[in-house]
Amino acid sequence: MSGVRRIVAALLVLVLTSGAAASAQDRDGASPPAFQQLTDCLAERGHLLLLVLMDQSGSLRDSDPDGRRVDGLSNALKTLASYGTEENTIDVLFTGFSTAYEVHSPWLTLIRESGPVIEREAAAYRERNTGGYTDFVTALDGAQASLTARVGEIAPAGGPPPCRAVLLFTDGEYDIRDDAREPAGQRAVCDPGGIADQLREAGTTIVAIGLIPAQDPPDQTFLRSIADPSSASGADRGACGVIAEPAGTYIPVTSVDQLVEAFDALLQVLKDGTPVPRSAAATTVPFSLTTSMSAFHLLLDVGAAPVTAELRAPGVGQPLALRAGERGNLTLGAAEIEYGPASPTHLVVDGRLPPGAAGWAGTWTVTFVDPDASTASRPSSPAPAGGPTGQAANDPGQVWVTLFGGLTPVVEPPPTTLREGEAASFDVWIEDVTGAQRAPQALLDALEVTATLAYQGEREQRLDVQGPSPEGVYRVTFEVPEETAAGFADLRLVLGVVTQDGLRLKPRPRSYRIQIVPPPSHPTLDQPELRLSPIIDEGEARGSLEITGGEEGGGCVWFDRATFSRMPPGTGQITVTPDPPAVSEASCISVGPGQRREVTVVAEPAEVRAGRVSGEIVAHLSSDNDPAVIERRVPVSFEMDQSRSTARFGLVFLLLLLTGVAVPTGAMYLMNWWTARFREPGLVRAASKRVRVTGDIVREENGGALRVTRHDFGAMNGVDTGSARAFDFDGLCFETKVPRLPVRLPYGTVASASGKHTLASDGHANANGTLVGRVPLALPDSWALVVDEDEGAARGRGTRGNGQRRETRGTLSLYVSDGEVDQKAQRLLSRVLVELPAALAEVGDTLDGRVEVPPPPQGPADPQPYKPRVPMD
Amino acid sequence: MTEETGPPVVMLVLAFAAVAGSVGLLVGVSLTAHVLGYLLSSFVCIGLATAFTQLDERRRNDQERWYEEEPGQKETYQRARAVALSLGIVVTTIHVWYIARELSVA
Repeated sequence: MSGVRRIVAALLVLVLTSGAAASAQDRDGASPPAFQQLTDCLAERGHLLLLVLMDQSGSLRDSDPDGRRVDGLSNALKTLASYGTEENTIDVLFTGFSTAYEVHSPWLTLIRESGPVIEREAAAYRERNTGGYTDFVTALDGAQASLTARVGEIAPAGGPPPCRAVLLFTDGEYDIRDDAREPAGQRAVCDPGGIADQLREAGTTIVAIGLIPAQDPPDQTFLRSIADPSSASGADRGACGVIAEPAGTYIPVTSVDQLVEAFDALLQVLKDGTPVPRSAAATTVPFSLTTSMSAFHLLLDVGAAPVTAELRAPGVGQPLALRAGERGNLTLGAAEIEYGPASPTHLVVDGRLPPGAAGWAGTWTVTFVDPDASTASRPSSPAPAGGPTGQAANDPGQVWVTLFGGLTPVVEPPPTTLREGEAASFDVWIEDVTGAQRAPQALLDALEVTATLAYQGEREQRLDVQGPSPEGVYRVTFEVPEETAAGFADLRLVLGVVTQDGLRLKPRPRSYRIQIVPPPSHPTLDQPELRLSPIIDEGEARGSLEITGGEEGGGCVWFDRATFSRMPPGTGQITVTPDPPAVSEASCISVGPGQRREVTVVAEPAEVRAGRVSGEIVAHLSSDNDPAVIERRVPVSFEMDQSRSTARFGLVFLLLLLTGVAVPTGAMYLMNWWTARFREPGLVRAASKRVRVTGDIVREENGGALRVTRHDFGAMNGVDTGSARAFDFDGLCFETKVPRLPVRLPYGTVASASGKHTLASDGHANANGTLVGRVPLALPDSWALVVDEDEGAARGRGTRGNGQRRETRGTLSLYVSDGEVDQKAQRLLSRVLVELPAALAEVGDTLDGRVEVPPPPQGPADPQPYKPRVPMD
Repeated sequence: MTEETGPPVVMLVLAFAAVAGSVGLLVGVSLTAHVLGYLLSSFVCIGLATAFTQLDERRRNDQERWYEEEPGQKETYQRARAVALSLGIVVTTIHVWYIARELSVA
């Protein structure tokens, strides 16, 4: 299992040390939590589902016209297939997204010979760049469904679920067809229990690589928050989801070259590499290999210029010349070297360091030379014996060096059980990649073994580590508490290696889950934890547990108190039942000494949702020989998922939205239509006056002051005394109107039966060139004016040409309710004196030239308008 | 003595309360909560805003009562009603998203 530790680790470190955004604090090789968690997961489970989720939007035609993303992806996966699958299973799914999520192939289990398949699948992405949008939400939802379905395929019997990772590449920001739905989409991802939470709840590490073009850089804050919830700090960033682990990471790159480097960095994560801090650009880059190591990886940027990189091993005179686009493998200084192109300008070199042949230990160098220049000149940089074969390049390339430790702490024999109340000790050995034991004293690097133990649900405690002994063995000793309900403890060993150059190699952890067994008088649960089968859409989760009777006597076992601390929102009550139904001491399962019996545990949630469910069930162990009843907390977990229909979603969404908005709006319109009636118009008192409005002065037509008394008002004979939608009275046509927008209220209009302009107390509207007045549906306290004559038309607006004010004549109608008519009439009149001139001033433009003016008095004819004479040919 | 009246502010307050209640139900995890929120932010909120408008207009046109109103008050209430309706539609859309998601399970 030593190879398990070789796979996985710290992705971002190399990216940041290699990319333009490198920062000093990242160069110490510290591993982000995301990759430590991925390391631990793979070390424990040995199986990784890697879902490649590539942007397929049309913007890639501009941001990556040469398809360099394909080079990066292909190279990373091929190297992963070559080096990452020795003792682990890695399944890859090629998917893409734009407006929809697309699965391009079945799951591919990587093997060393997977290279051609990877190249073919990756190359297909070159043409997948015609999509219209960048819908992360649909993409992540689809990714979650694909991962869950795969888990259901490979772990149907409740075995340990594989580790999950999503590698998302995009050059854009969240963008869907309907901008208005973007906030809802973001909420679907980031709300508690949303897609991001579901992915993390299921243990998915999200790695997002964002290509940020120099022109019109996209805002990838949303993408960053999805991948890395810890990035949600500051006012402009919102947290995405409430579940923070496993943390993912977001890698911004600003060029396609960095993209290749980012994909290469991903590879190093999965290989548990340690990046070597880079110094200033130099022609010759040295790096040291020690016998604690197992491999090295170089990413060389030789640029577009014809620069050659020379790789020189210690004690070897002839260097290996590396040129862009070349491929090959050979042995150099006892190391097995394989190299090939990662892109038109990048080369990758992988060196395996056989533990038995230490000829590779020492200082290696990469020297950039210009093969076209004279060999007479030597570079000023220090170079090993032999020196470069050409002149030092004026524009040296770049090299990123990653080193891989080869030693792992192991317990021999592997621990399986601890008995409560007893002392325990383990011997820890150091193994190399071949599984051979290595004596720390024989190594030149400094080694340190640390050990921690965490009882189920408790914090880890550091254990005492003695050694190494002359035989190279470390000893770990501790004592198990007498009374503990923990069913297991996790022993974690970490080997720290500091090279002679002071480089701290990535720690090599090794974990063991050790069952804690009760005294020999009591029955034992054979598994420390219970993983049930997943539930897809409906059904129940099942798993089995084996019970073995105590060595010193029979006993009985029953279960109760199932509690679930984590479950997707909306799951409701989860019922857990053992089969046989041993839920109390009276119904317990009896086992004789050494006898084995199997119990099936069934968990049935009230509602099936998407996500992981975890909790525990308490097992009670009683003995025939000992009155003490021992409790054991057994962790229980299973996964659930729901398959969704996109078409049904769209249909339901539209229907509900239309219903929720259209129905109330329609009801409002109907209500407006129903209430659009004049109220008791036949009971209104009306008066009619001929008036003349000069500027802002309203007079009677004869020039006298405008006066009204109750004697001027009369009944509106012939008009309905109930409610009416329309009626005619005194040459005026009254109608009700219902606005198209139901948030507005219905109103009434008044128009002259003879087609003249009409103004009214509530305003006016232009209907086919003729003004129509607007009145309330309750007519009292309103007025209307039918314009007969407007002298402003010929003399200018507002005033006559001789300085006199504009004059308008017409018939004014006044309406009041019955009772106290005098008072109401005076109140209305005072309004008319203000409102009428203002209304006429407002509509002056419309009245000009459109009012039917009486014929002028007889007299000299107006002179003909001047017409310029047009010269005749 | 003419009785005084004014805008039915309580209707508007209730419309805002319906939207606020609907927003509160967004954190609910059950389908029932989202359906309730949907009803509150759509039918109840829009209904109350409509009732406010109708009642206000009726009071303004009532010849038997004196309508008490401050300058600019009508515009303020119209804006408040528009805000309530807009919020109601936005919150309705969010609830609909959840409900559709729940009901789209194949």
